[in-house]
Amino acid sequence: MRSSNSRVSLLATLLLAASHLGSSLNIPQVYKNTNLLRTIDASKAYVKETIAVIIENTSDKPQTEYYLPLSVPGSSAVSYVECKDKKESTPCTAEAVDDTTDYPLRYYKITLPKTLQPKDQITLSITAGITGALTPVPAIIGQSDKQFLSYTGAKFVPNPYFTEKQKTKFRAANGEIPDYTVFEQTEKSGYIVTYGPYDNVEPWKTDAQVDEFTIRFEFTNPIIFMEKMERDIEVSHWGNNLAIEERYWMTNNGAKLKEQFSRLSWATTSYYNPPTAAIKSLLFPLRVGSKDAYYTDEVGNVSTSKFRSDSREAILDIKPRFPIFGGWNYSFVVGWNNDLPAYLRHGKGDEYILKVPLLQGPSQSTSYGKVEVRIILPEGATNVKYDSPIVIHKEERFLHKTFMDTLGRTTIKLTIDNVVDELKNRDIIVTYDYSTISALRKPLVVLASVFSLYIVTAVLGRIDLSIGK
Amino acid sequence: MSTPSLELWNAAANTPFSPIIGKSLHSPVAFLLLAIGAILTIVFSINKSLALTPVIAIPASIAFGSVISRSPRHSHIILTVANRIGSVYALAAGGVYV
Repeated sequence: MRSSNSRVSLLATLLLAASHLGSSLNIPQVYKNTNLLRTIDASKAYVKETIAVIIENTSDKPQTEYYLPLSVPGSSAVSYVECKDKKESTPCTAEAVDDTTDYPLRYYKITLPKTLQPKDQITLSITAGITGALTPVPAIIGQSDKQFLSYTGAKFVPNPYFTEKQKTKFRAANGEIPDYTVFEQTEKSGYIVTYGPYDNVEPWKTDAQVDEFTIRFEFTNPIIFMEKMERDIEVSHWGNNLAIEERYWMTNNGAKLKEQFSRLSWATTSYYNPPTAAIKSLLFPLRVGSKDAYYTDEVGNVSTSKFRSDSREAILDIKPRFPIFGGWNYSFVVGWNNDLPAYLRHGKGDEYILKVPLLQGPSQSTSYGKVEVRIILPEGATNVKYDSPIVIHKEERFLHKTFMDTLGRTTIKLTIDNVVDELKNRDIIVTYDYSTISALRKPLVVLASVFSLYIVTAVLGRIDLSIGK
Repeated sequence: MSTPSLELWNAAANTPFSPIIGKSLHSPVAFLLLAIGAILTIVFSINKSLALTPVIAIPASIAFGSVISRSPRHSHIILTVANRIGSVYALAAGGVYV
């Protein structure tokens, strides 16, 4: 019995190993990295990793695909990856490879902007936004204490190709870096810690021992995280209006409060405006011409907001009802209007072209867990197409019913997961057909209903209900 | 799915969306049409003759229909107030999102 069991478990192990081998990525060794510079920018509430690399085709065949892994251990995740030819600024595409066997690496397949002939070189600049990679250490701080964040990364840049020379630069929010791992060739200058240059680094091996560095640096700013954000973009042809409303579920991912919140201490220190890890206010830079801004939460209108709109700028400055410390939550709604002609153009025939920012949001560095953008077009709009500036993870199309609708307004809902504010203020272009008949639907429906009311009253008025003579 | 592009937007640079009535005129036009509709309704209610329907009821219906579509955009607060004042005004304010 025992031998039968052990045979089964051995078979299971072999099957598991075989499946593992089968799905792991087999990257051909067709390049070498002549020079690689990794810059890790932790001056925001998320990490922006930029890799500038000169690659050389060492094979005897032309190549078009280059693989690049990003290290995303634990709860960290890649928000976006963008790539370009650094010299000519030609964009190239970066596509996630569906393979997670090489934990903690997440591979991206980069299609080069041009075919790379044997012995030829190209300089790529690859930028990635990584969320969840910064941890507050200590995890609990006093109300007016400084906040420190910790980042851990591999000493050698994970790369499947041989690298002749590589260097890593870590950029902190300021020069206060109390702890950082020291290897050979480690240098700290101001707010930058440099590891390298290291020569002749072998390709990354999953099983090999990885040297890691940890840097702890001061970051007395809130780590603003929107667990969810719903954004409605509503087009009204009759009203000549583009209405935008954003609903936020916000939290501060910074260090939690050690003791109970002291309102007195908060009020007394707020006079000299010290740096704080709490969210005190949010500044929304809106497009020029925005008006009728409002800021509400579950209680109702929040009066601690300022809105300034002139010919140069439109800024909505909101102050939540209470400071939001680490681990605290707050949900709120902001909205505003714009005149439609700046965002909508009339194409050929019944076609309309809408160009609006897909995401806006506060000017403070922010990351979003889930973003749902609803683009609500007029009732009767058909043939809706869009061109999104960022990758959309889910798309839904439905009819949204609200005031005076009969059929419902044509709506597309775009869901994007794990977004960082680097991607905001990029325009989405939507085209749709909207005929005059569709536009007249609402007034005609009202006309018919009111007119039928008159007819009914006229007919009823002619009925003789008097008692006989 | 073919995707529209920036070129399409640029090509339509000379034809921005032009509304029938600008935002600043929403209120006066809505008020005027609403007033015409109300007056004609009163006239019609005094003499509910079927013969008068083409003369009075149809223009009144058109006025009401137009009012709803050309009314100004108000915030939620005004809409709530309007709802309390009366259904007609509420419709006018609700026309916001049309």
